[in-house]
Amino acid sequence: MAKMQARGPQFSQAATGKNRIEAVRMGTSQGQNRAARRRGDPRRPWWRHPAAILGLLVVVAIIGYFVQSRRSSRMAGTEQRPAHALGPGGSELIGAAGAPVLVEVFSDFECPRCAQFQRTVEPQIRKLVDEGKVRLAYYVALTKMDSLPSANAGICAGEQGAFWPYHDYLFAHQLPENSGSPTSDQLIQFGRKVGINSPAFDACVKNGTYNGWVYQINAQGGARGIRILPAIFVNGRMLSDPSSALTTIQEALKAKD
Amino acid sequence: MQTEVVLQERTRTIARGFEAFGPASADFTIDAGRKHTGGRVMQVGAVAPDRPEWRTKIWSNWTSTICRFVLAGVWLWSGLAKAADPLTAERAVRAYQLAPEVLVKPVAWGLPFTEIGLAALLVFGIATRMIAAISLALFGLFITAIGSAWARGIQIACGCFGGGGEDPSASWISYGLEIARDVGFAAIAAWLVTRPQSFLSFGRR
Repeated sequence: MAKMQARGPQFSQAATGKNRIEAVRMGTSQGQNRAARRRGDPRRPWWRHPAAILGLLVVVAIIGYFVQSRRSSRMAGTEQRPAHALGPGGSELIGAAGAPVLVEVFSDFECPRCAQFQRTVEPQIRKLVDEGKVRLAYYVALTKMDSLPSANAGICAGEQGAFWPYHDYLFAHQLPENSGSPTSDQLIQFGRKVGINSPAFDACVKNGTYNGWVYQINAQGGARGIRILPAIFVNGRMLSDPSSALTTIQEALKAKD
Repeated sequence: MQTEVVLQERTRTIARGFEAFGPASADFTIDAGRKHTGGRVMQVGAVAPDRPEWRTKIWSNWTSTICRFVLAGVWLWSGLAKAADPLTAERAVRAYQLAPEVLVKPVAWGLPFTEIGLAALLVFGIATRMIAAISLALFGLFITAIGSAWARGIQIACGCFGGGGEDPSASWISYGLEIARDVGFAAIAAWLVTRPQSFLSFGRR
């Protein structure tokens, strides 16, 4: 018996015979024993240790971060700047050089709100552009990864000098939300519809030549504090509500007069 | 000698048991061996039971098993949906206007992978109680985030299972449903915290 007690605190004096056996049962004996087990149980494999599990989850998160940042900027640094896009930040620019107001639009061919903006407000801005009062810089940005092919195709069309007709066509034939995106073949067909008959355009759509450039534009948008598309800037100031674009432009024009 | 009687083939784990409990005594030995015996003390000559006691609490164990797989499914689904599209995930996190800008990308891109990791650990039943506790904490975080967006009048989609970002159609119904759903998931996690023992798992808890 004395020998037993010398062995350690987990062997209770009160426990003898069958009770003792019961008492040293793992995790069911006295708190002292339990605490000792929790501190360092030699039978608990290292991967069951809380620190190991938490560490694993943190490591997984860090790996995920790098995987995703690689995915979302796969072409960073290698992006090809479209030679035709002469607007600020490589946007598509129309309008007289001397126009007093610069309107910048960040939009996505596959976002319903962007299509709504294109239907309602954009024609009136384009009218002001034609009157020489406004310069319009159009940024092809993304709301989702799925929009990348059509965004790229938009820039490809711009390369062929047909950005605006193509842009109108894409918005007019936008698929309903959550029903996928046009394939590259469809995007090429859309090009035919607006009169683009160029193998260079087809190759550009198929290869995703300007994917990196679209990412770059998207990053620009993020840096300028865009949270939602379409985002409209009038003379560099972001509007909180795209539908108020016209009144803001009128005010800016009045201020210039 | 006793080890030969009780558990002949488990000398290695028996030896480890001795390290913890001192030298072998004359009349009992400790089976710290296979997981199902849970390291219980055995009388000399006893035969280790095939089915340990804790494995026989059938209904709660089965409930926990189902909860484990349901929770794993939830994490896997939400993790994959968010990992599929890093841009949308980033937009969704930013839309909450809670995380500072430096943390938006780490959260948007790291969290889905953590969720997949949680799913994997739950499927195998590794450290179930701790994973369930972490899940519970995460659901609490999500509920707080949605509730705060609701309270601040920000109109966003939850982005819990992909998608997300501003959503002009967000209303008290959508926020309420999202919170109710997360409360349901949290209840599953809470059950697993209290009853982590389940079948088809590695280890007891």
